[in-house]
Amino acid sequence: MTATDAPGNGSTGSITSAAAAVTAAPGTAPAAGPTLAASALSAAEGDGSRHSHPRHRVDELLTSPVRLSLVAALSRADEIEFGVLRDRIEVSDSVLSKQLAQLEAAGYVAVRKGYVGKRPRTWLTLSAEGRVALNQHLAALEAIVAGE
Amino acid sequence: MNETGHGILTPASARELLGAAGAGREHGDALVRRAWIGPAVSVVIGLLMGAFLLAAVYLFPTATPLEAAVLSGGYALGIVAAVTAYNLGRRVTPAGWLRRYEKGLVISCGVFFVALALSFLVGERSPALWLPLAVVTALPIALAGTRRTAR
Repeated sequence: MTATDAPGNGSTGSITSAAAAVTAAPGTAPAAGPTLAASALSAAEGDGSRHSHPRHRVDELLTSPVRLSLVAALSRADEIEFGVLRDRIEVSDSVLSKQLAQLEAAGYVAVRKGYVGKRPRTWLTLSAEGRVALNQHLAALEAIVAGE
Repeated sequence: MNETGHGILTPASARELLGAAGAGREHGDALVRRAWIGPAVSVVIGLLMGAFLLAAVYLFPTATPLEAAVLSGGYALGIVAAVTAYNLGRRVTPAGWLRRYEKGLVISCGVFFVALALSFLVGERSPALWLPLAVVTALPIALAGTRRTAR
């Protein structure tokens, strides 16, 4: 038994490629996600003390319940296949695709396409940036609720 | 309106969003709980490694070249079948599973090669020694692959 015997050395959808997707995801994130954009906006507007209210730390992209739910679900796994997540969240292909496109553009989710046999499959991974954004967003929401 | 253009986020709407996040996490957890293929493959590969160690100790020394080839081929086919099943069946990779699997694999491989080397160094062929060694070979990858931890 050698390391090459391990699962992951298959040609498609392998454990190794899953690792590559997980580790590559943060690096593939575009630099100008909403969180960074929000930070830039805050900096441009001057004194941070003017924006101490937690609502200023809310991530605009994650104010959509569907997107937030998707990101939260992805936070519990390294990788989830598109169809599985679609069925679980109970949204249509088009809705999920549209929401994922926005999350991918922000660098929050990495999308990897591949084949299992002849069947195309799409794998979704929450990026490191997406995880940070989710945690900050949830903290801001909790602060808003706590300050009620 | 706030700067985001989505209106002021009230405590009630924040609570709704927290509910959506909680539901999303539950969906993720439910998917992870049903992700059986990775743990199953880990156990199968562990068993194959343990069985191959026993074959190396008890069968290979007296096996004809053909028998040795059949044993090795069976082992290789088993590994290939397990990997193929994983690649075809996996839909969800639980958080941290890959790291745990790889650690378990490295440890199992280490134990396997140490035990294999031992088989050449000692003449002892008692099951009291080799069965536990086969179990110790299989356990790291089997346990690592079946352990579930939430992030």
